[in-house]
Amino acid sequence: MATNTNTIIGRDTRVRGRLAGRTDLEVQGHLEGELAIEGDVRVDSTGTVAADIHARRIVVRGAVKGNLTGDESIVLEDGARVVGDLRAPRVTIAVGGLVRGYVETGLGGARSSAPHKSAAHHAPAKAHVAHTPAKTHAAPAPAKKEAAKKDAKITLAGGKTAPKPVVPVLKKGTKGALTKRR
Amino acid sequence: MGALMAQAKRSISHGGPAVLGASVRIRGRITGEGDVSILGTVEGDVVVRGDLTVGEHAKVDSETLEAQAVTIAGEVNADVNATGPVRLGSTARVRGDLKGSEISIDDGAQFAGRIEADFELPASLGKGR
Amino acid sequence: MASTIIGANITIEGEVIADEDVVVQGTIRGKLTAKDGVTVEAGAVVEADIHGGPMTVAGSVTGNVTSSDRVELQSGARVVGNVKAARITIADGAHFKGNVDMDV
Repeated sequence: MATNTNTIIGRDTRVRGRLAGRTDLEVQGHLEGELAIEGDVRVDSTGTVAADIHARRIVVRGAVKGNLTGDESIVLEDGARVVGDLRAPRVTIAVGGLVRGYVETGLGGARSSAPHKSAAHHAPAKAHVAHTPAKTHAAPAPAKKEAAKKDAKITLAGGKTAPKPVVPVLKKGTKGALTKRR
Repeated sequence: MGALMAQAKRSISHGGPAVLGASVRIRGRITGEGDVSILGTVEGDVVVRGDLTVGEHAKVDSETLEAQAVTIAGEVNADVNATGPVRLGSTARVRGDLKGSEISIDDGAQFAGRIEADFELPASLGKGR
Repeated sequence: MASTIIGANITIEGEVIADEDVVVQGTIRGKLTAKDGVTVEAGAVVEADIHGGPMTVAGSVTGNVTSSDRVELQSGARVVGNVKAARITIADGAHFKGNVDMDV
């Protein structure tokens, strides 16, 4: 596996927008928008993120408002504060890691292990809990696998290709390049 | 070795920790004054004044588990309402909402449900939902 | 002094505001505002107006560049846009198309 490049949003930096790419990302500052990272994302204790995060492995020590989707794992360390849903094959919440939201381990509907299934049968009273996760994952699960396989262009969670940028792109010859006509 | 089925209410006397062994199957509500350790199968609410432990091969299906500290290593399909810490070990398989003073989930645990810890996000992220 | 590094292989579409140095190795489309230095490394692509302190450009910039200090375009740099800075250096081999305003 190629080594990912590294991106660091420093403590005194604020980013607002969409971040995408095959990189590892460390957030020490403030981030608002969307993240579709083919790599590991780490939110340091000083980091604050207002965005949904979709990455391979996600480690949080700071504050996040958004849903976290890890293709491999999600770890909330002591000091983490997350308001949002957590979905990953493996989820670890250390003592002191705080979350308010829906948490689900495993790969949604795709790779539910036997205990989950038998649990659903044995607990009719919990039917609404058992079915809701399956429903919410019916669509994203195959798309997530797609996103994990894709090597080239990064796709957003949900399997869509990146739509037009939020901020208008400065095209050569227009606003950005105020060249004088010859 | 035979299974023991108890219908309706089943109370556990207070004192030392009560252990419901691996071969015990209970259908009904369990209440306890002290600590309770479930190693078998329980179908019904569990309301315990002390700490509750669900063993690795145990299975609990109910609406609610109430206790001080709750430690789960087995299968639980219930909402957990603890006044103390809730800990899911690496062999835990839990479906239900968790509420407690502290929630921790070890790597390897299987879980689906809500966790509602009580805290505030920093001001830069606005109020939590 | 800590700095922000926008690594290669990452694309940011939006706004970056830094109270510290910024090193760009990847792609930024939108706006970049830094209190301190900005370095656009070879291979980096910035399609944005850049505001900052001392700047060193070895990559590609399409946008207006405003510096409170000096701007240095190194060999290999491609800049299309207006540059406003107290001092500017354009090395041999740098490509530049735009106005230069040194009246800061």
